[in-house]
Amino acid sequence: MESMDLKTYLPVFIEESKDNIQQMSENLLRLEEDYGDAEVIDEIFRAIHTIKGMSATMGYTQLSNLAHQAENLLDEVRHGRIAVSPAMINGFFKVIDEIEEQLSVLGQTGEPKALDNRRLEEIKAHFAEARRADAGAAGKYRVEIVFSKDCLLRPARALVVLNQLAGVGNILHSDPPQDKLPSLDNLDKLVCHIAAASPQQVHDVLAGGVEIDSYTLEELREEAGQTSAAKPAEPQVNRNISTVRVDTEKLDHLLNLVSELVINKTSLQEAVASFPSLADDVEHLHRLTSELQNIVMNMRMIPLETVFNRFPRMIRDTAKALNKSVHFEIVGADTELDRTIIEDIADPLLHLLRNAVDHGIEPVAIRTSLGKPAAGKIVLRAYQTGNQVVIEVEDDGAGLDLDKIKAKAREMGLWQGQEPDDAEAANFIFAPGFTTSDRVTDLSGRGVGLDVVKKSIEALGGNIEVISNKNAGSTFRISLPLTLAIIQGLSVKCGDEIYVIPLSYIQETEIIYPDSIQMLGQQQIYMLRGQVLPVVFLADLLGFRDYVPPQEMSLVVVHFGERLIGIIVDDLLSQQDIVIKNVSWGQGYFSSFLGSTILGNGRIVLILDINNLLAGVKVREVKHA
Amino acid sequence: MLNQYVVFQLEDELYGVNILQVRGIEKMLPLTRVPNAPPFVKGVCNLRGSVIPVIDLKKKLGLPQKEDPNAKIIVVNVGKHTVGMTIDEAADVVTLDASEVEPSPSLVAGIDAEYISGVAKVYNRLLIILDMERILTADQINLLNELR
Repeated sequence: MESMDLKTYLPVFIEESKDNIQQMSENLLRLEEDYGDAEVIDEIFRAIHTIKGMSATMGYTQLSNLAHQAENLLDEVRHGRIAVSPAMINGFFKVIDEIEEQLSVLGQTGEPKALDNRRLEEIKAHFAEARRADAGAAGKYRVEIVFSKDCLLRPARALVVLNQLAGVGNILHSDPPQDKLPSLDNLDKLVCHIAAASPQQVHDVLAGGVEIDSYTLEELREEAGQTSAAKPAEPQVNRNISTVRVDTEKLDHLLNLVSELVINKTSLQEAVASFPSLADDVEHLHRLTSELQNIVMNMRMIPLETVFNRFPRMIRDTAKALNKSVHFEIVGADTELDRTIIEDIADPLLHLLRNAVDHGIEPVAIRTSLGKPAAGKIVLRAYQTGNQVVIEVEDDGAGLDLDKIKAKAREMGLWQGQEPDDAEAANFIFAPGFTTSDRVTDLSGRGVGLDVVKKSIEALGGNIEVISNKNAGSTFRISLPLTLAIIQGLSVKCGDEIYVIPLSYIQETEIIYPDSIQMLGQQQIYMLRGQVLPVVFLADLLGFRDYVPPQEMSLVVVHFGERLIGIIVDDLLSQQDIVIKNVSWGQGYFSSFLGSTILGNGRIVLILDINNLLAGVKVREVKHA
Repeated sequence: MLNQYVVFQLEDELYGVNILQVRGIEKMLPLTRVPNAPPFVKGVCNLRGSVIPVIDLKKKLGLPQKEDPNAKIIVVNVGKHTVGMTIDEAADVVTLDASEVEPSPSLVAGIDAEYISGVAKVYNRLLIILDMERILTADQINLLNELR
């Protein structure tokens, strides 16, 4: 093939290689849990082999050589000449890092870059160490240990033995479980499953063990589901679904056309009243367009897996750097979200997960003294409820120090008078510039706070809250709309114009009259069930001149950050699904609006960006009397 | 090298836009005005299902205002963006050789030279050729700077 032609394959090469290294990364994490899993080793082998072959075809010799070296090492493992070792796994992760970097450079410039020499040295060192690992085939063994009669603290002794065994292999399972041992009074025998490079190493540990009466060691044959440890997101079981890669721009265009069709259909429905004979046809058209719309919306949905997949590795590295032990679990990675949202959710989640490892999970010593399992647990959970997708980051760590937060919040003027309840206090951590931490670690506390996380979630039309229990852990719950292309909105009238307020901002609505609006200092207020509610006229926010409010008006109570603010409009019109249309140019001029939508009659209606609109006005903090 | 220009009238002057940048000329469409936007943004309109902003070209160029009942919208494509601009009357399409287009003097008809890519003579009148890209981007860049 001509090298000219190959350029056209570059995007495919990059996409497929990304898939391959993603798989490799997942499988390496699995391998780390269980050194003896031959199937996982085969998977990794296949992935690196594919990368090798494809990069050679594309003419990226250096990349192909690197993959070749990794493949060779793995081949020796497959033939039982060397055992899986931490050095090998670390080396492979470095290989992945290098390939990732290569791919990103290729994506940007179309040309391969020279390999990173420092990283190559590291890889070489890791691989050399890996080759020194015992040539005995790695295997899984069942060990049964009976402690001598005169051994006094048998549970403690068992812990010591387990620790020693962990030095030569990977403990897969123990009975009684490792974390239960400290609380036991007595113990007859200890059974554990270990993945070790060779049985000899296990023998060496046990034979020299103090206060061990007798032990047995037998090799375990392949059994599925041996590990109780957390695994990264399961890949889809059915891998042979046939798929086509489509340019996302085409998808966007398709969605636009379908939205067009929906709008057209709506106007047809309105017009059909005068042509009763067409009613059936229009009804049929309605069903077809609805189905078409569903399918197109669905095509834009991708599973969260694509984002979640990168986290196990990050948690592993972070936990290692902090010398903490963390079990990471992913639940519901197949939950789907609109592509545009998925792209923007990764960073906030990364931030929350890092925080969970860094601030949430306590050091091992503290955990054991509290009677908690030594390894902390972090769960990343996603599920759909109605029109929303919820993503939770849950840890079983220290929880938030509410007293400290309340004190700090008071200092910052976030509350006065009556002390906020715990749920309210916990959510102060999202306030801009909020930190109770006096130290700055390498990982977090570098100034990018939770307020940024909150902002980016809100920019996606979602919200975030935290639930925390002292010493039991914290849960950050993010709710997101299923899609950004269609939102639920309330259309309101203001002067001669119609605007849409996204339903997600709205707390409640009420009919009010001009004389029930009072002045408190410079601020217009309304007493809503005995509470002071600051209010503003939408006409003022939009700079309408010569606006005369009607005698009967509507109040829309919206969330603005932590507060409620009333927006006064002339009238409420209807609540409906709104297809958001972006304006073709000049977004900068439309800062008061999220976008626009076209009504059935062809009229354009603008969707209010509540956050931006209210950020522009000084709604004075109203103090409770 | 020959270029074609769409010629239209604003008040008493003739203006031209490179035909490659013109998507079409529409009669006036119903506009939805955009609060809090600068005065030259006349509103947004529904152009066969796309929401496009409409710019009041006279205001943008700083020309005197007279409401013209025959006002039309010229729809231009600049890069990925589609924008409508109000004009008084579309006259014609002219073909000009590059040599016929002269660089603009610093100020023509009271319009800032940065919006003008050149001038030419057609029908014995002065044709002011507008640089659409500059008209659209100059302001966006200013706006971005303000936001910072």
